[in-house]
Amino acid sequence: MSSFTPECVPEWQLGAYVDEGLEPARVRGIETHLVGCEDCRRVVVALREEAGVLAKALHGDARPRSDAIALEAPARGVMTGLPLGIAAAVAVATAISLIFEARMSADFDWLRPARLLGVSDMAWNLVFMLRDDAPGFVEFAVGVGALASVATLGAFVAGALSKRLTGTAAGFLLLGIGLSAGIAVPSEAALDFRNHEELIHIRPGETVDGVLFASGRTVIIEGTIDGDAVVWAERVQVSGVVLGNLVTGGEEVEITGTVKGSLIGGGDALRLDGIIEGSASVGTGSFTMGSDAKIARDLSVGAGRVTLGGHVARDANVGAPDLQVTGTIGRDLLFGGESIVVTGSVGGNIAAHVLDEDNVRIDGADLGGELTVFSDPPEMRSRWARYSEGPFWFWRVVMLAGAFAVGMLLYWTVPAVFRIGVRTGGEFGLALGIGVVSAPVVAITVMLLGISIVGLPLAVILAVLYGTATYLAFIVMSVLIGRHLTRPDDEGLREFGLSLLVGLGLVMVIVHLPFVGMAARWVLLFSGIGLLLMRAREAWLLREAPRA
Amino acid sequence: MNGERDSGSGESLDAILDRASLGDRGAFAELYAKHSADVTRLCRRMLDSAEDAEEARNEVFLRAQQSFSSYQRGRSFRSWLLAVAAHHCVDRLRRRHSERRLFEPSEFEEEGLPARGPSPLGAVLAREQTELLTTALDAMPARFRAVLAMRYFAELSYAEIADAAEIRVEHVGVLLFRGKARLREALAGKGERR
Repeated sequence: MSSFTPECVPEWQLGAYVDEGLEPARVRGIETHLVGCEDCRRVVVALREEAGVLAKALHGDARPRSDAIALEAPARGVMTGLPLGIAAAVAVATAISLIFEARMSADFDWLRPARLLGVSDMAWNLVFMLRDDAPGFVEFAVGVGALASVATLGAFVAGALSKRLTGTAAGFLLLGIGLSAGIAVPSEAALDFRNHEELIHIRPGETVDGVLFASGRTVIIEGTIDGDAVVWAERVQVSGVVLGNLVTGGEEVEITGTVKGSLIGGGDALRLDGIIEGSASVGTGSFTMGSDAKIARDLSVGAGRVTLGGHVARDANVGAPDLQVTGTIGRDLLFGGESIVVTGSVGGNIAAHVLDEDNVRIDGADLGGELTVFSDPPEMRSRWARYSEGPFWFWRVVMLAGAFAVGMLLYWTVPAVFRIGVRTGGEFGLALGIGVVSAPVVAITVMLLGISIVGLPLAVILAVLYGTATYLAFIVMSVLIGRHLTRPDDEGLREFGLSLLVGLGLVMVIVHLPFVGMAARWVLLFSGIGLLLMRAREAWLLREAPRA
Repeated sequence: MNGERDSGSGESLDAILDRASLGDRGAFAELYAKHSADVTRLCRRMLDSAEDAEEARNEVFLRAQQSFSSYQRGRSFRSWLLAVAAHHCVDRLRRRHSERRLFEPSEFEEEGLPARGPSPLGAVLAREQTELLTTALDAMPARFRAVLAMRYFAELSYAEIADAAEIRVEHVGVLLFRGKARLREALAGKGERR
């Protein structure tokens, strides 16, 4: 340093010179200076040496400091964002759950069909609106459904085969083409697609061979369908004969003919005056069975209002606010809802789940078996009382053990599921948002997929997957919380197990706290689902990249 | 600038790159296997979190696969890949810091920079000093760590670093100088001077 002069090159420039990061003109200037300056030459040599030292240090394996992130990097993100995000989410969820808890009775059942009717109405309206205002929508949905199912199946089979056999793109292509052809050709022959017509009319004496798929404003079937009929229209009238099953839905459905198979009905209002030789499963706004109607097997119905005037040969299971039975039921009647009036005859027992015993009236009914009324007075007390009951705690432990086993198994088989993390409040908010949005999106998607016969299996798969995700959400969030508390320094099964157990225990306690518990449950559920979806997306994007 | 250096065995790498440019996923798998460790290490250095690094590694390969067309043959694949990784890590750091100005302008100023920093680290460091250095590196603010890793691990050129960090080329030298000066101070404070 002794020979340092004002003309000397500043060190940062010498560093850039060593790193070849300077413009040629400056390089020449420095090189000219270096010839006559020993100090700068020494610095250059020292910097070269140092570069080697740094490279070596950077190549070395430092032990990962798990606390490094929290200490240094995301000071603004995690330290303020995360707590704020959680606090906001909890506050909102608490407010909502307070309202719910204050208003609902002890045996409040989320899945009571009547409660969901508003949602389903909206979905049906959406479907019809789309069909009217966006022509070709239904065809498009069917096409996408068909393509997706063919592609999924093709990819699955080809993937399974190619791993062992060829592994070439040609295999994929051939299988894809083969499958498409295999599905398309026979379906072309067997399915009778009649879409988007003002009126689809199968006249008396006319026979449709194979499966009829009809969707339009009005569909009238007076002839014979020699197969299943899938009918989707605003107005559906079936006065002919369906030799297979009838799957139908619409704003107004009337069946006066005969269905040799079973009936699956949805939509707004369904009236049955004909004969169903199989079972009937119905989910509608209202379901009316006329006095001449007959169902040869069981009836399951969830609807806003149900009137049973005809004859159900076997069991009738009804979930509806209001039920009127003026006809006959061969065996048992199971009812869940608000009020039930029976004036007809029931061959077996009646089991009625109602809120108020006074709303069960069977005066004048011809009852072969017994009437059992299950009613719980809507008191808040019972919500608290559960904590003092043994079985309650027993089932908590069982559920905890179950979740633990599932979590361990999952980690053992697919550890990638748990490669998740929340680093900032923003990320947490994103996960929560995705989770919240996913619920209606999945529900509507399932409904839309379910319209078409090809989409139906996909809809079922999607629904099952989402159901699984809601269960896994809690496990995933437990792991996240557990990891945060135990701070494992390894990724072994034992460390994971400990984190999982700690997290599950804590979550189990949190979700059972009064009032806040329900809020926490929603937050955990939705953020867990959101994280899982984010993880799934990532995995999907990375599906071709092999593991190191 | 540091173009023609290649880490792997030449002829097979060329063949693999040929296949990769045709969209062969198997070729990508091989490239992945070959460079995975380097990419992970760079991410690990820049992000200072093993978990993040692993995630980032996967994303980098995805990104590389998508933008493979921008890779020019003749250039070292490793250095191209590491440049992609550096870009990605800077993005991640930005997101993590929840602000755009990760590389703060005040750090670029040439005025007030000493003509000479503390003595550069010697060629041979004692074992414990190497450990100290690694620890000091990890403890550095992200912007210095990132730039040092891009330069001395990934061996990116100043232009590439400037591109990834979205700063001017002249500023790369200043940031590196400040970073190294901090490291030297940290080591001088803890251990004996070289």
